[in-house]
Amino acid sequence: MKFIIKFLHFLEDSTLVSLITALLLLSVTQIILRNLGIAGFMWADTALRVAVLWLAIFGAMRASRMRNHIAMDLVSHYASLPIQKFLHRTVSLACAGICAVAAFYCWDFVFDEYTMGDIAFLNIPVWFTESIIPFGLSVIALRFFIQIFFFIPPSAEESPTN
Amino acid sequence: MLTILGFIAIIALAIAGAPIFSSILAAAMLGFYVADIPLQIIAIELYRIADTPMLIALPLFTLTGYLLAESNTSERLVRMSQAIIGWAPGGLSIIAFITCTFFTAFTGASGVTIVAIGALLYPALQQVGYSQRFSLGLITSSGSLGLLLAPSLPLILYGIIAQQMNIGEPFTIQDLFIAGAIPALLMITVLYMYSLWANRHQKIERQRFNLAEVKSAALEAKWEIPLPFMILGGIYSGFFAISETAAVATLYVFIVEVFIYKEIKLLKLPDLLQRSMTMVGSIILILATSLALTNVLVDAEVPNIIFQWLQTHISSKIMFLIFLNIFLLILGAFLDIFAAIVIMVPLILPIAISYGIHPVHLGIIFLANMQIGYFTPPVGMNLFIASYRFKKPITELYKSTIPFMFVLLFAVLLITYIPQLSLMFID
Repeated sequence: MKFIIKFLHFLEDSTLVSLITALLLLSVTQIILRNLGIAGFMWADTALRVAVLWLAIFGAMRASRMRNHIAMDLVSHYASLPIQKFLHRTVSLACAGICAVAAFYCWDFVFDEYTMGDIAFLNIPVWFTESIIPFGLSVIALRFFIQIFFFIPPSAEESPTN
Repeated sequence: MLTILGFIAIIALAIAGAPIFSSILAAAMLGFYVADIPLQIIAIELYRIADTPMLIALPLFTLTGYLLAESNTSERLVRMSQAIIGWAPGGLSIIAFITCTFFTAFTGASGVTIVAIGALLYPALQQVGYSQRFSLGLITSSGSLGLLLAPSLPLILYGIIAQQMNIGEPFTIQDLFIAGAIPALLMITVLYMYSLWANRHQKIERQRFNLAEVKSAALEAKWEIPLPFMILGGIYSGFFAISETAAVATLYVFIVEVFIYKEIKLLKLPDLLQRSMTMVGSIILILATSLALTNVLVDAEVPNIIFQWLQTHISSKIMFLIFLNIFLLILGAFLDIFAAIVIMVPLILPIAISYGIHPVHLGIIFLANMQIGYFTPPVGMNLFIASYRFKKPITELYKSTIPFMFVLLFAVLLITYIPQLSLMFID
């Protein structure tokens, strides 16, 4: 079980790294081609915009894994540990619920899009580029659900200050 | 009634420490539900992120900032400025203001300036004769200088949101950066004047000007010196689009820090990429959910209702600006800057425009206030970072930053009530 979770985290992290690398390389290539007087890839602009969405959702998924979302940081400074723990559980439960409801309706929407069969760019269908939204929300919901049972103290890991 | 209870529960959740995005998402869903709109619309709303071309600049500039923050750029920057202007009266204080401004503009205001630049200058300031309390206040309050200069991420984010709303006079992100230049200069100037006045009885050592040291410092930083010219030149000249400037700058910084200075090891790179993109993810998710909530609020005519309420109580532009200043200062002390921009700009912008405020001017006012919010007690983020970094109790930080807060408040009032400071170079 531990191995599977580690592997899934690795997969998630690698996707995130690949997305930002691809984003950087593709946008630089576009600039070079444009300056050489070549039109550049027709599909690249759409691909780049979709990449930003995917990047954001994967980043957000990782943020919920580490409990690193932007939040009002009053509790950790001014509440005692038992209260912190209680609030942590309550908040996790509520967030899991919110994200699960949103994910449910977004899946529904993506299934509708699947029957329409529109193409986003190259041969990639629109439903696929959209599917990251319910996928991400589902993963985030699951993580908040798990965190009801495990207290993670808020960390500053993500800021470059650490 | 049930709707109102729902919204109160959502706000309570946010105060209890729920991620901001989840509170906004819940509010948006509740709003759509009340308006009888099928909740599938959430997917359409969130997908609008993929319809915002300028957003590409956000991950790229964030990455540039992380790369610069993790290498020894701060040391080279301090050495270089010390060599060039260390001879001026007040010496190190002006260096602190200038280096902090630069570093924050390039790395985003994440508190990293206090850690990277502050850690170098805090002991140095005391060494040349500044008191401990003054040094602490100076470093903490300078940690958010530079928000108004290119390529500051919060300013780009303001531009993206304001342009999405498409109301008021049209403007470009370039305009915002041009508008921010004089206000930023004003802030540095008043801080410098205060610093000279506050230490008029203190004996402050200065560094003698030494051409050889300037040359040697420049040689050390020779790969990083082109960067500001590249970014500022690209943005202010309008030759490159913001996203293009971001791509070129990121690639350049990447090559310089990883392959030339070799201060970021290749093995550490995946971790850096993940951390920076996690931050981008949490910002964009708030942006996405907030775009949805904005639509709910606009459909429910909330900005109109607020405006009408305000107009019965506040008739003049000046009164509105006073009200806005107070509101933004409080907001800045409690809410992360990105969240504050994304949530509040869609509400405030239409109201401000009805009072005859230029959208570019509003952007500058907004960020100038937020900048003070960073070190406003009790929960300004930079207070905690400085307290942690310099091992000082938080109450000592409250005391040491208060004079600087009033000085910057004075600058913010000038910026707010003299729109020409921001708009003089805008058509």
